[in-house]
Amino acid sequence: MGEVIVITSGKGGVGKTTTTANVGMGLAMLGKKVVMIDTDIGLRNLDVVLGLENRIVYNLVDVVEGKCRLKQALIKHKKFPDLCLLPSAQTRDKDAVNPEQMVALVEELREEYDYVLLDCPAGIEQGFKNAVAGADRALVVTTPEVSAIRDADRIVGLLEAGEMKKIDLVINRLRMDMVKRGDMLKVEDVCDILSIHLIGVVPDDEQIVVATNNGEPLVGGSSLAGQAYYNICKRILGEEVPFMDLEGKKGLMAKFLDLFKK
Amino acid sequence: MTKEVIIKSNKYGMELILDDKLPFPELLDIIRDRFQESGNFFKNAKMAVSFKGRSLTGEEELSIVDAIMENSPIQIVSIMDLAGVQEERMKERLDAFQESQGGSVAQKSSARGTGSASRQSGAGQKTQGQSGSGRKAEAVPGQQANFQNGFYKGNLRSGQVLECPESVTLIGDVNPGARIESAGNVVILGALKGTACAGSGGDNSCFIFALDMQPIQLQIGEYIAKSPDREKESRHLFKREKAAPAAYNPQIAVARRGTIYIEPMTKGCLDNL
Amino acid sequence: MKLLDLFRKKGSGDVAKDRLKFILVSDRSNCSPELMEMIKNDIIEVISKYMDIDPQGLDIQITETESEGGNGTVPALFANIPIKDLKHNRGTR
Repeated sequence: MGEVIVITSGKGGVGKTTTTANVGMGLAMLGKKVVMIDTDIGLRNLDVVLGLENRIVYNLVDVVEGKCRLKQALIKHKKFPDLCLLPSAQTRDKDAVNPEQMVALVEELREEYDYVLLDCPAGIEQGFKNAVAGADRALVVTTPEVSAIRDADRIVGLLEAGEMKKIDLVINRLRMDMVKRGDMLKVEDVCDILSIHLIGVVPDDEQIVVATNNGEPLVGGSSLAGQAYYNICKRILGEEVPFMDLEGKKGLMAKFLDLFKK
Repeated sequence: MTKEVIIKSNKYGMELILDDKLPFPELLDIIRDRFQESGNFFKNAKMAVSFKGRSLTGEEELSIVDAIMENSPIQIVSIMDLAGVQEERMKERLDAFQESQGGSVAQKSSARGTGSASRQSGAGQKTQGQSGSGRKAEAVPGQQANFQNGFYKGNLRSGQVLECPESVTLIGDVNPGARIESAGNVVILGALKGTACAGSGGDNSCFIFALDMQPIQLQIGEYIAKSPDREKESRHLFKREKAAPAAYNPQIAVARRGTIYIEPMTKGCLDNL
Repeated sequence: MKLLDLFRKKGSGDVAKDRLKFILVSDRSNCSPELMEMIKNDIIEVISKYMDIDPQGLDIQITETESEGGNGTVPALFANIPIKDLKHNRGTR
C-alpha cells in the first residue's frame, strides 16, 4: 500500500512542480516505485520539467472519463522505468475532474506504487481540492518571502482543517548570502512562523533553471539544490539526515575570490 | 484491447461505437465487462448515450442501457439519435432539460422501474445530453470568424484545439501544447510545434504538411509518432554549427508500413500521395 | 563591513518577520482591518471618558501570547495607549 503525497503551496511560482519532479525522481533513485500526477488541469508543466512532453497521448482527464485505461496514460520515465507520470490535460479546465474521481484514481495507483505524488495547482480552488482529496501527506513548498509564507500559512490551515495526517515544510530558493546580510528571512524564522515540521531547505540554484531547460531534474547531482532534494527524499523515507550546511560548500571560483577578500 | 466496443465520453454523455458483425448477446457481454472495469470513474454520472457503427433495434438499445446501469453507477437519462451529433447542441439540450426538469433527472429513471431510459425520437426533437469527440474544452477564440471552408487563419496557442471534420489548412503556427485535428489531411502554412493529428477517424492515408516541421507529436490514422528525445548538447565546440539558422524546410508527414515518416516536400512526394 | 553593520538599519528580513507575524495572526483570527478600526475607535471613546489619551499614538494588534494554563499560545489583543494626562476630576468616583 503506497503513500500518497500532495505537493502544494498556495502561491504560484515557488517551485511545486520542480519539487515534485525532483522528489519523484529522487525516490525512484532510492529504488521506490513512484507515480507522479500532474493535477494542474489546463496548465500542465510537470511533463516539460521531466522532459516527457512528447510522449503524451492520453491524460488524467481521459483516464477519469474512461477514454483510456490507466495503464495507457502512464508515461514511463526515460531513465527510471519505475518512475511514471500521469500528465494533466492541457485543453480542459479544473472542473473536468472532481475529488471523488481523484480519490478513486489514487486508490488504484497506490495498490501498485510505493509513492503517489500529486503536483497541486496554485490557488485554493477546485484544482487544490482535487489534489488534496486523496492524499495522506502534504509537502508545503514556500520561499522565504512574505507573500509565499502568508499563502503557505493559509494552505496549512486548510490542510489541518481537512485533517491531513502529516504536513511537512519545504523551504525553497533560500539565498544564504541574503540571509547573512539580514535581507532574507532565516530558516528558523519561517519555521517559527508556520510552526510545522521542516523536511528540507533547498538553496536558490542556477542549476535548477539549467535542469528545467534540459528537462532533467537535478536531484542526486553534485549541485547544492540536487543534494538538498536528495536529502528530502531520504527524509520522506524516514531516514534521519542532518540538514546540510548551505554555506559550507562553495564553488572553486568563490573560494578563490574569498582569498582576496581577506 | 477489444475493438468491438469503443466508449467515447465527455462531461455530458458518451458514445458507444459498436462492432456490427458480432452477435448481439456477445456484444452485450463485452459492454458489461467494459463498464464493470471503467464504470467507477463515472460516479453517479447522469449521461446521455448514443450508438454508432451498428444499427440496433429499440429493444437492443434498451438492453444495452440496462447493462450499463447494472454494471456501473452511471445513470443513462436518454438515448441519442446518432446522426451528426454535435457537442454544443447537445449541451444546450442538456442544460435546457435540467432547467425544465430541475433535479428530477434521477427520479425520472428510477420511476420507470426497469431503470431504462426512454427513447425520444424525432429528428428535430432529439434529447438532451451529448457525446462525440468532445475535446473542445477551450474553443479557439474567434473560431467561427476565422474558420471558413476548411481554412483557419491565426495561431493556435497552448491548450487550444482545432478540430475539423474534413481536411484543414491552417495559416499560422501551431504552438507547443496546441493541437490540430482533422479527419482528413492537415496543411499548416506556418510552424508546427505542437501536436497534429490527421485522419482522426482512422484513415492512415492522410498526410500532415508544415512549412516548418518541429512537432511534439504526430498522429496519422492509428499511428502516433513522438519527436525524438533531445540528445544532451554537451559538446560546446559544435554548438555554433548547430545554431546556424535553418532555412524554411517544408516537410510532409505520411504513414507507411506502420511508421510515420517525415520527408522534405519534393515533387516526387506529390506523386506518392 | 562589520563596522558598517552598526549603522545599518534593521535588515529587511527582520522587517519581513515582524510583518508576517502580525499578518498571519490576524489572518488566522479572521480579523478584518475594518473590525480592528472599530475596536480601536470604541477603545478611544471609552478610555477618553476617564483619561486624556493620544488617539494618534494608539495602537492595537491581535497577536499571540503564552496561555496562562501553560502549554501553547492563545490569541491576545494588545493595546498600546499613550496617556497624556490622567483626569482625576472626571469619572464615576
